[in-house]
Amino acid sequence: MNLLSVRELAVYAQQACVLRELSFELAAGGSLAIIGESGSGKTQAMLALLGLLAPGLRAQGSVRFDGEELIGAPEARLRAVRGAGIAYVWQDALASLNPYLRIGTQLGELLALHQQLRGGAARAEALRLLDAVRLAQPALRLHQYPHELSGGMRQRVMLALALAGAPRLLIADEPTSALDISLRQQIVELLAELRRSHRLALIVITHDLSLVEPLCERSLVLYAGEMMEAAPSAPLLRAPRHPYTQALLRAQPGAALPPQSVLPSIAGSLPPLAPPAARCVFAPRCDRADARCAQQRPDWRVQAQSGWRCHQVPAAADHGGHGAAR
Amino acid sequence: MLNLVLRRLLTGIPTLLLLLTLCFFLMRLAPGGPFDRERSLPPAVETALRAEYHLDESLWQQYRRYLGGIAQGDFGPSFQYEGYRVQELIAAGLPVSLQLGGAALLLALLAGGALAVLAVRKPGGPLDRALMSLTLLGICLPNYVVAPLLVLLFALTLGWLPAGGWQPGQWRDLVLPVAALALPQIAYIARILRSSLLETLAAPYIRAARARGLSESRVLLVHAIKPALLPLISYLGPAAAALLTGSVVIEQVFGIPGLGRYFVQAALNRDYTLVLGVVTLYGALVLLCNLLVDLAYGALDPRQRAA
Repeated sequence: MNLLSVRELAVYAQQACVLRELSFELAAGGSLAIIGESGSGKTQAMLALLGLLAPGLRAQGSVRFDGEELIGAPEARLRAVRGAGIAYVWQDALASLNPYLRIGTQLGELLALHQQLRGGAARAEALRLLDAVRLAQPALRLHQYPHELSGGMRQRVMLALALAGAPRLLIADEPTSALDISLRQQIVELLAELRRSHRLALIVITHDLSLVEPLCERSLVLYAGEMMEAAPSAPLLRAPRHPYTQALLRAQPGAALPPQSVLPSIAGSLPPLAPPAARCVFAPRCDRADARCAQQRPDWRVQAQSGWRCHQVPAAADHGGHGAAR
Repeated sequence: MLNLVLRRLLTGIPTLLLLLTLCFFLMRLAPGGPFDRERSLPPAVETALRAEYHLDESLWQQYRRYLGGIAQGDFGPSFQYEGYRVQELIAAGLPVSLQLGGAALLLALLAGGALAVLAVRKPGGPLDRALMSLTLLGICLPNYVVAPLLVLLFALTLGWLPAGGWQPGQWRDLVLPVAALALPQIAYIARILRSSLLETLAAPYIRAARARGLSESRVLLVHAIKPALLPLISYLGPAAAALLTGSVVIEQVFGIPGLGRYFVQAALNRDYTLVLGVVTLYGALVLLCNLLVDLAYGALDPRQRAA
């Protein structure tokens, strides 16, 4: 049985569709990257999974964690899963740490709640966690407030807080977007190491494709709340099938671009929130779209370990579209 | 922090002096004087009185005499209460007002805080809406309506509590005036705390705390309460100073010998020294309360401590 099984998860804001038919499986210890631009529904999908959608948003479909259905589960059950089963590392570490409480207080309350540790035992475990996330001078940090730490330190504290519930799944939402390039590498390495040492399953939400291969075996590309493509990370990045994935890869900085050249981008912008559409959501921005794309929603096609939703990529297509970055 | 306290206490002195000076000359600019009555006094008597109270001196001389007295702890004789020094009147009234205002403040904090916490359990729900309507009523009803209504109900109709009076150690005397003083404050505090709690509960770190599995009451009472208290504390500074110096209306209705009545009576009677005395006291209390507000800010918000 898989650790996490998501079937046809949808998120609605009144009639508007934020997320549609999201399905994936994650084995214990497995890893998945959810890739997409801002507003593609990545974060909402993960909030839906924890029952933390903002008021006015509702989730449909099925999310089974360790065999237990989470959609529609009572608040008490969800609370038992949050932190202890699924831990969430937020995008903005400064905004997500309580500025009014010491690091030690914020760690201690989780150790008391999830591991029944208090006093000296809790302190020892807190120090061990801060050490595990490679935070220098852990004893000093316990007495400090979030604003007294640097960005990289705060990110490490966020990870320590996530580990405090001894979770089985870690969801990292843009774990490096607020960090500079050298710190980014350190945090990626730390995440990979924590995954091994704590036997974690890992979901990384990102628009930074450089995170994907070092951290995640599988990837899932979201656009405007719809799955565009899902595949093992290596083939997805080397030979993307879907025109959107191809365009996304072309738009990555750092590819072999001559100096002074303009970074390719995807023309247009995300469509506004709307009721579920009977067409391909990417069609208006797609350079391969034809009349069918604007009239009929493509089916989800599956071949071997990959899946995609595009009229232009038939099931028998060989690997490698025209637009692959490498 | 000691540094801050000392600095604020020292800068408080010129502030009070300025307040005193302004008040001194403004009072003298007002028409009429302490000895004006419907029937004017015989000129000889009035001259003697003016000489007795040094009103025959130049204004500048009077001002210097007054400041000299204050330097020695003497706020001068009251014009209206014959034979009393101003500090004696204040010393008699202040404990009563402090007791009354302090009790009202405590009650308002406890009740207002509890109402706010109840209201944010389900924002926009029936309980929230009912409480907010009630508190609006509490703010709108003036105390000269509330106080007599309370007397009518609990003293005259039900006979549970005395209608007025003030004897030391009689807690029953305290109940109705404290309730009348506290009611609008309960309403203000509940509304301020409710809205700041709602604002805080929308913060990303609250969502993050929920995502870590913390219970809603822990989120509210540990993670949200400190930031939510800040706006309330800003309000409480001046509000506490006003409560602690007594209320004219409440003291009139319940026959309580506090300070509040002096503020109005003394001004109407041109009791120059008494007006200056109570104004100085009020000014000092405002300064003190604002200092306490700043200290509380530092205690609650670690980011303000360095500054």
